Amino acid sequence: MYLHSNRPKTVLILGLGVLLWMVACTKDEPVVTPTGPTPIELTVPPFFPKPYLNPDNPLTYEGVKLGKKLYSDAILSSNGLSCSSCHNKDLSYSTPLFTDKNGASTSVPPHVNLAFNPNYNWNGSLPILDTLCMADFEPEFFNTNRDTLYRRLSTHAEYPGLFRDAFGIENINDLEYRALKLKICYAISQHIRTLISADSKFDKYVMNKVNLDAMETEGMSIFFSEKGDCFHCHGAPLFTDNIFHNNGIDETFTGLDQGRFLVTGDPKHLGLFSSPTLRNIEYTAPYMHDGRFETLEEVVEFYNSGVKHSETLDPLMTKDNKMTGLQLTDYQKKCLVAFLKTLSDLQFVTD
Amino acid sequence: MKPGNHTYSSRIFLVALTLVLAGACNKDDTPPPAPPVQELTIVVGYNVDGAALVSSQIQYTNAAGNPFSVYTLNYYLSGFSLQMMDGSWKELDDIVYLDAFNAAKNTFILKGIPAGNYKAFKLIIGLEPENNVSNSLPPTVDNINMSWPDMMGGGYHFLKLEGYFKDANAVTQGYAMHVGTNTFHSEVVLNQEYAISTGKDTLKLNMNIAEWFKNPNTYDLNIQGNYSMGRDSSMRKLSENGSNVFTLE
Repeated sequence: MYLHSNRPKTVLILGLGVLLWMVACTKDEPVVTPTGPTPIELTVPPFFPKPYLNPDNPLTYEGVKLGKKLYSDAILSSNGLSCSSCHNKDLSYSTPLFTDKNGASTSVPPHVNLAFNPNYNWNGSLPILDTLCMADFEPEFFNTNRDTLYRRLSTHAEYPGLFRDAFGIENINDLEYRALKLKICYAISQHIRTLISADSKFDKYVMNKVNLDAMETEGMSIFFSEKGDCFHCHGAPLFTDNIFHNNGIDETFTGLDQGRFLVTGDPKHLGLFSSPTLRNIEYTAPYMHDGRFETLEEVVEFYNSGVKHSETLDPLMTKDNKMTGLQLTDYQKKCLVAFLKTLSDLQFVTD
Repeated sequence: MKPGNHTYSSRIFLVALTLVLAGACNKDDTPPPAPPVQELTIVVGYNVDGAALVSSQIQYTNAAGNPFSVYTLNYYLSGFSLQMMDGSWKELDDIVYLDAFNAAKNTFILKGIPAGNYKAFKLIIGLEPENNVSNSLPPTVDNINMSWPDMMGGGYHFLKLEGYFKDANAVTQGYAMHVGTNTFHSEVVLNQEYAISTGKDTLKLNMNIAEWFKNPNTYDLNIQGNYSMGRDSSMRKLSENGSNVFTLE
């Protein structure tokens, strides 16, 4: 009876307390509505640096899903091409050569570990991965038809939902053309950031999971010593320093061979190109920016005996032994090639 | 009694509730101010025997008479130590990567330094043996590009000084002065009085790049060679010269 007779008052006090508690602590406990794309983080392999991410284009599960589908879909083009036409997974997301409208050939850089690159293309003409594919809509690549693109995407069975999930876009047709292309590029770049290769035989060796054979071990010694001096520009774990160098393949420079100079206009940059990663190099022939070498053996022979002098030849390439050649024996050259092939990540190109 | 008792217990409950509420929201309270942390900003400047550092054509001449340019200058500073007027030293554990041609990589902050008057400043160009261990520094792009291969001793490059010079035949060649491996770090001692004021303050270090080729060892690129990595005699000369490259402003 005692409790019963006072129950309403007690309930009132308790209710007031709960209310006060809620009001007092509102800013600590915001109501979270589970909407919008799901943020994800890249799994960065051991010893890798932090990836370059764009806060304007955060990595999300839905964004990557959309990007992966667009990457290999000719829906973006009027000529049947997609990103994967020139970035073939079997070739570490590369292709042998691309010939531009002027007839100049370029070795297509592979889409591997680009999340860790500060710039893109051989001469570093693009500093942001997220807009890397904006040029692909042009006649030289996809030759995209604006009206067709809107129609195909907006009437597609899956894309309207994928765009909504990834970017909250309710109606693709409401986007300005440039904004639509930008969202497409954002999604594709999210997918590209997930293309991480770090499971080669060399990686397994570093983790003490496998041993290298005698030739691979000898090749590694050449690679990581002054004997071959490959490591300065192609050091582990990325096997690129992401820096521009003139490695001595030309003495004079015209057209695309001018390299970084075409971006900066600085004469010191004549003939400089970004060091390519050597990861999966076995899959990405031909070699050098213009694909002039068909095989790794030719590449090694170039560094062994073919470096050409010029005013901008990288200081690392004019070290005493470089100008007189590396003087590798035939066996050592084979060993170096054998080591380079330990950088192949079969799972990356098959999964 | 019963109603009276109940009123009393209700008051106790309200007081308790108020205390609980106050306690529940402690995390909203502004935390007490932390003790002031002395921040010393170090700004590093560069010159070549007084001439401004410009990454361009060959325009400098070193002590051996080699016309040269500077294209790359990356290095570590560590082992910072400040000597107070009573002779005691304030030692810091910071390790800093610097890039002469990247303005953002030429300023850094040392924390926890008491305000006061000092009479010396010590630092190391490179890394002491306990820090010169492969993969021990955070795997930033800068650090991985400074790696020194295990089969050459491991650890990190202490210094990468690269550029071009005119050789004995007046032909442009490159040079790459790379220093690494234990014992080849440079110890710098600057015996100079300076004061650090309360709060934030700034010191300026100046590197005369020409000193790398000058004092106490005249380094002739035509004789000693245009690269040093793995050559102990060359690295030793450069290491000794490194002790004289900095002045305090």
